[in-house]
Amino acid sequence: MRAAGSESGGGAGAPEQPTDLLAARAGGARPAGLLDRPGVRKFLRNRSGVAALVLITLFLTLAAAIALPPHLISLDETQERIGPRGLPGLWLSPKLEARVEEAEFYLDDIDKALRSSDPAASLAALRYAERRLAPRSAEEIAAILDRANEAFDAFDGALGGLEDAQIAMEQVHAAGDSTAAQVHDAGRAVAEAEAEAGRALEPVEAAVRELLPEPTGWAGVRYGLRMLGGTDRQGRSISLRAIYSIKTAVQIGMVTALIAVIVGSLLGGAAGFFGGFVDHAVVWLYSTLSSIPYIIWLVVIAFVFRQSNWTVPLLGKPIAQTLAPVYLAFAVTLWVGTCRVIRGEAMKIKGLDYIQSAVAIGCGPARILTRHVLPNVLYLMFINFSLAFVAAIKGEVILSYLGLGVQGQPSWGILIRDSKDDVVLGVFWELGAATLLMFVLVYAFNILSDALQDAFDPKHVG
Amino acid sequence: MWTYVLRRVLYNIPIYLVIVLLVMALLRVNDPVTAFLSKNATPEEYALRKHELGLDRPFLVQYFDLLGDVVTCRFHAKSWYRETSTVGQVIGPAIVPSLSITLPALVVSTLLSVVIGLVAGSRRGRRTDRSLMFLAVVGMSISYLVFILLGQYFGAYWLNEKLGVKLFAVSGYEGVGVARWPTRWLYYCLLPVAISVVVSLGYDTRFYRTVIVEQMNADYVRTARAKGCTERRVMLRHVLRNAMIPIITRVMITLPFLIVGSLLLEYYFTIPGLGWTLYTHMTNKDFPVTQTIVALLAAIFILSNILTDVLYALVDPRVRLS
Repeated sequence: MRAAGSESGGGAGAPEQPTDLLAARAGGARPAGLLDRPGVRKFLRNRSGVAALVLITLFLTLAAAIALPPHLISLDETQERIGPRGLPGLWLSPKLEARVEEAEFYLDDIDKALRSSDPAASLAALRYAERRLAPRSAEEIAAILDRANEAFDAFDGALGGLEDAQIAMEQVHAAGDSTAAQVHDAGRAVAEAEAEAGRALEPVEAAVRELLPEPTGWAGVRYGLRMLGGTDRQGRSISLRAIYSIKTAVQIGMVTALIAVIVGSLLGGAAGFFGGFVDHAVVWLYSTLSSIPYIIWLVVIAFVFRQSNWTVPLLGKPIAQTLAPVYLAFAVTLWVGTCRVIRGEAMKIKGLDYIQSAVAIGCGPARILTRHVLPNVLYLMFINFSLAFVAAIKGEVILSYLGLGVQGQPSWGILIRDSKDDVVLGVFWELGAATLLMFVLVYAFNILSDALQDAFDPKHVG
Repeated sequence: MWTYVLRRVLYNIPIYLVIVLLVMALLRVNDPVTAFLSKNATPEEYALRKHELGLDRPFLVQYFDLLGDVVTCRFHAKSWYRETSTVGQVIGPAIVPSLSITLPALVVSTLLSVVIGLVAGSRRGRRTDRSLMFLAVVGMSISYLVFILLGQYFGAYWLNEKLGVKLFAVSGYEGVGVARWPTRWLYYCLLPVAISVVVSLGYDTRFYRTVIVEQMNADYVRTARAKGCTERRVMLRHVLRNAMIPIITRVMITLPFLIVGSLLLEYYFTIPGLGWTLYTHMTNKDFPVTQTIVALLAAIFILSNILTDVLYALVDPRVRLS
């Protein structure tokens, strides 16, 4: 006769047939492997839940790859100018204004470099991400630049034609008695002038490509990634900043959700399990904290600690330059939800038969808490971790938007804040990139919370 | 009954006392006078200012001062940011703008989401339910800010500039003149209200659907069906009525938050409500106003908590005994 438990402990899905209950118990029948639990099985059958878990793992891996050395994306890269400001992403065909600005940006900088006291050095220093200056002599570069500037003057003429056409169209629109044919003609004139200006710009762009060739191969891939989301109003890469923000969000989400779940479970568990004075104290504490709206706590705490000139003990940096104010703000507010739920569950479990039996056979409180109560509230901790994570990410965006959150590194809130004034100008890709990435992460977490609840919470209504 | 009310009141008083203590301590983590004065102020200026503002008095005196202000509802401390007015004059006019956004938003979003919850709950697991809940989760996953930015862009800017329909203001608020109030309200407040409704719809719909589904599993639903009630009658007469308790609870819980309004909405649309006032005065280091608004909010919250408890006790006699 063999002790089934000792064999099946590690193996997932190994058939377990305790032929003799007593023998099984003597062998220290451990609970079946993690994957064998009915809740876990139910969760694994939920396709969208598993997909969400995979997606979240992907985000976490990405965040770790950014945070740990060799950094996938360094902080400097997110602050570096890579082109003209407000350039649309690769997937958008740039409007005439954006193309002009791009050409002007590159030509101006090469012009400046040529005129500097040490042209060779400043030409060598010209670097817009991977788009380096072509290896040519300074004279050759000057010659190409002259050609480009000439072409630019010709383009200016075409631009004048476009302006005239636009003014004419406005006059037609303003005059009340213009016929439909007149309006149509004016519109066509503008379109033609625009096409003409576009054609006139092409030689300039050709010269720019000659001076600063677009990289190919691996460098081209990197360059494409940088330019994918276009540039913000300071000429920084939006795609890099949006991806780097994953790290910021995960960092804040992880730390605050961990604090919330650990503090909430400890206090909630103690309150529910011991009852009496402890219970009163904990309930009283969270009723006190929750009598001020969440957003007010966030704003006030973040503001107060951003102002203060304390230094953080381990880092030796002033508190305002770290994420500590944000962590503090969330730590005060987010544990309450977990605490409530765990307290209720602990109170319920305390009265159940198996706890009474455990007490009867002489288990101490520590053993009861770790062996009997904890496994039964573990799912609640996971669900609340997921909920706190989402709350932290969404709260961080709001705080950063109000200027009270992250500083010194990109975050989705900062991206949205930066893009606020540009949206009115039709420049929406910065808002789009931040929103899209944040949406995917938060959506995945929402789906995961639902799937966890479906699988583990018997009371949950799906 | 009255002993129950008294017990609730007595229970909540120490909570309030501590919350005010916490708020005052928190706001004194940095010296408010140093924050307010510039860094190169002389010690004499500093001492004078501190004395003027009454911050050199013992902490307990300041504490009871603030408590007294809240209890008597008279806020005569000077605001630091708008130096000519008292704290009361700053806070008072901010209440109506806040309410004119949040109250309609609460009513509309509750009605809408209860209806959607009923529809989804009664078709549980079917396509309507699944797509509605999908939309709800999508709505929950999009940041509040995005709703505000896009709402403002399309609702105000795009309509004004591209279509020439001047329906909503881009931002701002105008005082209440009774005769033109409805149109002014539509012009300035309808867009923020609509955004607020859209934001809360996701959360509310899911909550109410859960409530409805829970009720639909109850025995009385089966009985009602067995005796031949139509599905419509089961939903409206039986399920909805029984679901009223959690619905009312949720509405009651949100009531105190109406006062502060939505800080974000007010900040973005520059509506001079309490949230906006708190934010601007706080970032301009107006210490008395910040302190008073937070203390006042806590008081309102606790009062409405007591009210909720009492209402429960009135509705359900079992509550009184526990």
